[in-house]
Amino acid sequence: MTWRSPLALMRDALQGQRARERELRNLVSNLPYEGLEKAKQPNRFFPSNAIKTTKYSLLFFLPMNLYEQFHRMANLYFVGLAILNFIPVVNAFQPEVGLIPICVIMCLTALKDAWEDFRRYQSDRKINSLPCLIYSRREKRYVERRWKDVQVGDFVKVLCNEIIPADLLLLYSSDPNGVCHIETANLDGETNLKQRTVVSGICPLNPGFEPESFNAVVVCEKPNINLNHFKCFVEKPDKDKVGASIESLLLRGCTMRNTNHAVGFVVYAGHETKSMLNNNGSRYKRSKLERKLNIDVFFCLILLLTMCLIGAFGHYLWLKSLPDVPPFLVPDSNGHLDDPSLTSFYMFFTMIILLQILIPISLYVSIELVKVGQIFFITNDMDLYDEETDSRVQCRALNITEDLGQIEYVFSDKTGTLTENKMVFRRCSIMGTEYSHRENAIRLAVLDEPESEEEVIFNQHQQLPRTRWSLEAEGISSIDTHRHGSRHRSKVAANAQSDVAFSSPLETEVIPDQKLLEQISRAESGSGRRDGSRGMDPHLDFFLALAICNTVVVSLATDHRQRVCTSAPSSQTNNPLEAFSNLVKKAGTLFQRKSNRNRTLSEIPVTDSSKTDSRADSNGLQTHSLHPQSAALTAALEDLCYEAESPDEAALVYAAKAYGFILMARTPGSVTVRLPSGEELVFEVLETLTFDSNRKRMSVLVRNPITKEYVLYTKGADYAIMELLGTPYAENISSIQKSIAADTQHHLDCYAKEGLRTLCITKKVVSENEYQRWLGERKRARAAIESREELIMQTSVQLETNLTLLGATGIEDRLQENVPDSIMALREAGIHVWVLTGDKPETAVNIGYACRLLEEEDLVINMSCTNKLACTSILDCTLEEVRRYGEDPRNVDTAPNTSLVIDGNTLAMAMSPDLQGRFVDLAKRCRSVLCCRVTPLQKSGVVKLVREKLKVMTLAVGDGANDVNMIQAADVGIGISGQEGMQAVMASDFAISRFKHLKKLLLVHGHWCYTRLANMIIYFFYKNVAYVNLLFWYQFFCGFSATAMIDYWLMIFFNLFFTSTPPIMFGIFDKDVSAEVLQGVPELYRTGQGKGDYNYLTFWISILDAFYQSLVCFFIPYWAYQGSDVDIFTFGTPLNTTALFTILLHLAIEIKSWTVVHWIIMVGSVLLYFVVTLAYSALCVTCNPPSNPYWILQSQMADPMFYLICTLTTVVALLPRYTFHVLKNSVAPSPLLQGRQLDRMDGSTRDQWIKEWRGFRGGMSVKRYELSDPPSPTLETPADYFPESLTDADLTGDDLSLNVITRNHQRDVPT
Amino acid sequence: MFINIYIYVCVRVCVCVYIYIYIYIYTHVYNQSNRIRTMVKNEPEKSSDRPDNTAFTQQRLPAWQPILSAGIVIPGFVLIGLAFIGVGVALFITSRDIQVLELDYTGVESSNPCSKCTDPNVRKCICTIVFSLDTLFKGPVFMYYGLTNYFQNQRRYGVSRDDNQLYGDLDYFKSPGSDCAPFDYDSNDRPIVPCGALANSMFNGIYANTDCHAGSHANDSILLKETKPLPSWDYLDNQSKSHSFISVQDLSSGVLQLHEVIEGNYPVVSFNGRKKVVLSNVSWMGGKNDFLGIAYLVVGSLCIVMSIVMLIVYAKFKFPEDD
Repeated sequence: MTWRSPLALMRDALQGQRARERELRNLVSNLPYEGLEKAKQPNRFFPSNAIKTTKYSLLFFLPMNLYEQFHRMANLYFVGLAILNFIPVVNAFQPEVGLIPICVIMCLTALKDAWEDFRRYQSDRKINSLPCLIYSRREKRYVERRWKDVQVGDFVKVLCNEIIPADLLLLYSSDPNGVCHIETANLDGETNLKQRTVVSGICPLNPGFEPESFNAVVVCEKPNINLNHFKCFVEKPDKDKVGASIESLLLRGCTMRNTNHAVGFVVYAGHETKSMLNNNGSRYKRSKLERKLNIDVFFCLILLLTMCLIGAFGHYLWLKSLPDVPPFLVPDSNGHLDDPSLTSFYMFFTMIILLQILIPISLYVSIELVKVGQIFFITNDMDLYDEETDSRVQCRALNITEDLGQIEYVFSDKTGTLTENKMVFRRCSIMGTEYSHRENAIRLAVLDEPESEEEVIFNQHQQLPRTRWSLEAEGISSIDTHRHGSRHRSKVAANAQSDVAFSSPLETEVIPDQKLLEQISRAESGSGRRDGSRGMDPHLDFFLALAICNTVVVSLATDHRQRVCTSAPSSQTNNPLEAFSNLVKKAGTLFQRKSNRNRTLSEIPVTDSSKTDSRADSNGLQTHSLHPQSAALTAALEDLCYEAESPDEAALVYAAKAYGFILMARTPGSVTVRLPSGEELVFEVLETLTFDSNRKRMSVLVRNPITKEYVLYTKGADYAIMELLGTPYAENISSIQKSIAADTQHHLDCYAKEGLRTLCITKKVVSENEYQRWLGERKRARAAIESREELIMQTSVQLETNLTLLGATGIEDRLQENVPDSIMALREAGIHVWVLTGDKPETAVNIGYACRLLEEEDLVINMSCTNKLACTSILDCTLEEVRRYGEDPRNVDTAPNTSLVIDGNTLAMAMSPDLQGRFVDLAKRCRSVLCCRVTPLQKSGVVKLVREKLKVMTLAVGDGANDVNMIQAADVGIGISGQEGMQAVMASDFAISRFKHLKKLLLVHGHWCYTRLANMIIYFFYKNVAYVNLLFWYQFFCGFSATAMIDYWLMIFFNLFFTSTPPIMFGIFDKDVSAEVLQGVPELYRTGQGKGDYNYLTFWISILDAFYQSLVCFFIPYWAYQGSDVDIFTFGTPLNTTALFTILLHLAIEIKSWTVVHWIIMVGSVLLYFVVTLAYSALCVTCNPPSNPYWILQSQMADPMFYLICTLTTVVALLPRYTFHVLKNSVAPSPLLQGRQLDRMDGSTRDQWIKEWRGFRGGMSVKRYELSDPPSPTLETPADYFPESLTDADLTGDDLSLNVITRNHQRDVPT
Repeated sequence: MFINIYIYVCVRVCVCVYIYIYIYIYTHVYNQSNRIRTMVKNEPEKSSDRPDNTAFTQQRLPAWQPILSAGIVIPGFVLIGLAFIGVGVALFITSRDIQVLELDYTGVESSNPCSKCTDPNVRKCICTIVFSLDTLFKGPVFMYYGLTNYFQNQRRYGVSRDDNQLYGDLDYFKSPGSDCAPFDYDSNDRPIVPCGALANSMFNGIYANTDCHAGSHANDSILLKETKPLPSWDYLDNQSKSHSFISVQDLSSGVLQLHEVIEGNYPVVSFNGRKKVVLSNVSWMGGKNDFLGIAYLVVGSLCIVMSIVMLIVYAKFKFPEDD
């Protein structure tokens, strides 16, 4: 490198800084500058693609790590004390000795940090050296380089299945349409393919792309974190600007799919790429316990200072009381003595050094270790492992495990969290007529049965009696097979291809409604007659809209394989091959299963004749009426694979497919739909107005190939659509249009009451003129770089007016398994459960009942008002009523369960500053709250409000991007890794895969973590106070001169080794109540809420106990040795030994369950003490002058007095605590103790007890959300859908009901 | 030196074990939390993430879960109580049988024959204390020097010595350790051996038994080498244990005459101390100490009382599991 003046370097640095900070960046190709020195490179200011996530470098590890560690106050404190020890006038020990503890602790931490950093370094190196293809002008071709060599301005060629090395502006794709697909699973976990299009008009498509000919300037915005937005335009040499958006950006970390190769221009590299900006590592949260702990450390500090003051003052008094200068006062080198006040001033600091361990130095490190252990156990829990997704629970925040045990409010999202987020088309309403799809409903209800039979068949060899069961299964099938079925089904799904939503045909199949089918065939033939106006029939239009109005990507099942095997890129060593073989294997198993199923059906027609018949019937009908073509074609159609961004869309497309409107292909410019007649229509797609949460709808503008009309199909939430309805559908039916809207609305309401998700489908015919005018505006909006989003949205809104209602759909989103049970358990655990959903109130209330958030006997308050005045008065009235209800003596026993249902608008008003106090007051009195139609921002607002106003521990659980705010606002954020990608998981502290896992996570792990850690911390404080006080009491007998009667080394060992492992073990392994009882009796969770185990009372009691024990430990040996001729360490050794026994046995009283680990560590600690002390006193003659512990313990152990003193002291020290525990357990046993007693019973007795315990508070048997036949939308109360059929009598009776199964299942797991 | 290395190694080994455990556990957790962070899926063959289904990882290790309750602890209390009372009685009787005679010769009171020795101007002072024994002292009878209020455990005083010197290391004879300051070199800069404040305060009472059945015995000055844990103590002359007891025979009565050399007249007035001569015989538990026996008796009785209380509690609050 040539030498450059520092001035130039500085100028360069400044320039670079400015270039990076600028809002817009001008990037040009690097090719003309290839081979030139760095200073000539145009893009030299932008970082290269090499990444570095390490915190330290080899050279600066030590200083940087020390700097990092000294951010901890505790470390500073101990280092300060160690330094203080080096000052001769105040030192208490040999200076070096004082350094040992802090050095050990800091070395431990540094080693941990270094190791972590080394892991990061390794992973960085691996990523940086991945191969990629960069165009080289010199070689006139793409040459293989490493990822780190990629620079902004380079041209990178990405092959199929390769990972994209940097953020690339897509310039060329091998696809003739100029598109390519990327899979963003690495980034956000979404597994559906996303389509990217090349920037149009930059490069000629045909002869292939020539990077050297690229001479335009790419102007793009400053790098930002937003994964879904990108603003950029390309300025060609002729000053023509072409806009480009996220649609043309290939993101680093994504995988190229479905495209042979593509070429992109690097716009952001390395740390400026969107994926790296989004990758902000694990989060640091401070738990509630830790905050409280710091206060207690502060108390300890005060205690310490008090003790030191007493010491200093005592020393002063002692010096003053001496009548003359005694021989034991050592003068300084000049031979004269310091003034007593000065000496006692020094003594103050000496005392701090001597008594420093009152502040538990190892507490912080121990807590960290304990949390690591706790996380280990949480992540290893089999019950929290989900087979379907092969995922365990993930702990992303490493230090708030114990917060899980203190939750008082749970805020939950609905879709995808409580429900599966796997949508099933249930019913629709077209032109005001309801089509109930009864057959389909029946099919869904019995969907699981074939599997359960299949399972029976599988098991038949080993388990013959079960066939009988399957024979009897007829009546109860819908209930008892649910579990098996869903499990099995999920297995099938997982096997088929876990990446793609809806791969199982069972879930996607829709059996068409007879009536509607007839209607369609009538319409078809009718339209056939009236040639040219085919699209006019609303029924046909409705299904066309379902097929067209979406962003579903179509791929053939064969494509998948092709996609995987076409090019095995050099970058990924034999991975694709293996993936392929896996896939083949999976496909094989799937096939096998399918054939099995068929065989099952044919083999046992007797068992299930009616249903099989109906299946055959409907299948036959389907084939007959819809697919008259050859079987081969049908098979080809079966291979169609839809990859949708939202499951709703897929459900609708599948529904359309069932009626013969098959979405065949989708390119950026066109949609191919196959009509029931077998005709394939290619619609030109002029515009896609994508979905956003403000508009709550999406539209597609297409050109009908037959009528040549411009048609806008819009689908969206009913309330967003209904107000946009305009001109009637057609003149001849204008009179009934109003009633259509009214009827449809009625149906929508009914759907909502059933808990279905509703969508309205509309159509609008746009005239040529109107379209052209609009297109102009749209183009302008696109080219704008400022506020482009708003402009584009405005144009969308402009077009979506005067819509014509075609119909509505009802899609079911099934509850996840065990959701009602989990919510019930959370409520019993004293947790207020809030569900925040964007759904309509009716849907939400229905789901609320289904998942037992609301109960029939609850007082449900429904709040919905339009203006603030009304809101205020309603709030006041309700509050008054609830208060009265709560105070009503009749309700005292029955624990008034009040629930609140509130909608988004009202919520916004209630959360205004003047009303929020009253709202929170009301909410506090409600056991559960249901908020409907809330926005993501409101979700987090509610969480923050409750958290701050009520000062409670909050937990938010959600699965989608719209829950991220809420998850981050809560004390504990839980992400569900479901269908909607990983954004929620990325923002969360814990990630689970099913909602039901929350129950065990909170009730069991939360409780354990909390009690373990709380008890450990209390014990830690106790331990240190007890031990330090021994030294303190001795000060009264040595003239407050900071003498220690225990050898310094042994003192340090005592804290560092002899008594440090047992509490850590206690914090990791102790188990007060078993998991089964904790889950069976959720009340036990309440012990952790609010103040919990770890409060001032328990803290001070343990401190007082420590004082008492230290007094005993000191004064019994003192009186025993008083007046005798023992020397100082002979006196100190029994003290140390009794302190060890007392401290360890104190822990033994606290330990609730003794496993092998406990025994080993407890006995090991005692042995370690004796071995080390014996060895030390045998070998150490002058090793630690001036103290001389030589042969002390040996001679003590030969003296019977030693044992007598130790025994007496230990017994007297522990007697009060032991007695207290015994009396408390006998006289007033805590719920936890009762839980422990349950543990000791055998399984059946225990279940009986648990049942009685729970039953005591009134029928707590778990009700179930039943998949019953959907009743026709008449007015039935939602309560009727969920009969409380399962009473205790049912549970114990002969009937097979879910509860019995659940119970058995639960029992099976832990034993 | 060897010891230092040994301890160093010990510490290191312990630290290493700790780190190993930490790292082992951490690896698992780290892998977990990092799974999302990894940008590149580099192991597609990654086997199932299913946790190990072992008793340890599932926290289902067989465990003993004691529940402390009144019914269970009664036998324990009774046993401990009885055992303690037994030990207490034994200790008490042993201690009662030990005979002690203390002769204070501080001379603060004018009636004391040694009061003349308190005058610092008297260079050489010999005083005589006459005592008589009412009962027979069983042999062996030991003579102790007693000194009260002497804070030998004062930190600076206690550490003001050089163990290496005392150990016999000749290097330290020439250059005493810094702990000894200001008693390391004399005014002529010659090293002091033994150095330090401890050695500087030599207790130099000389006792002579003039009229005793056992014959006379004189004693040298003693070095207060050992640090005493408590300010008031008796000193059994360890250096000459063989002749420190007065007699192997029983001691019935006699007159003990004490001579004190005035040069070494040990000043106790400066710290309100007292000087004593103690005659005592010993048992297996050492010198006379009633405390331990009484403490055992009290605690033992307390345990018995507690067991009765527990019995009442047990009768009143029976556990459901007990019926």
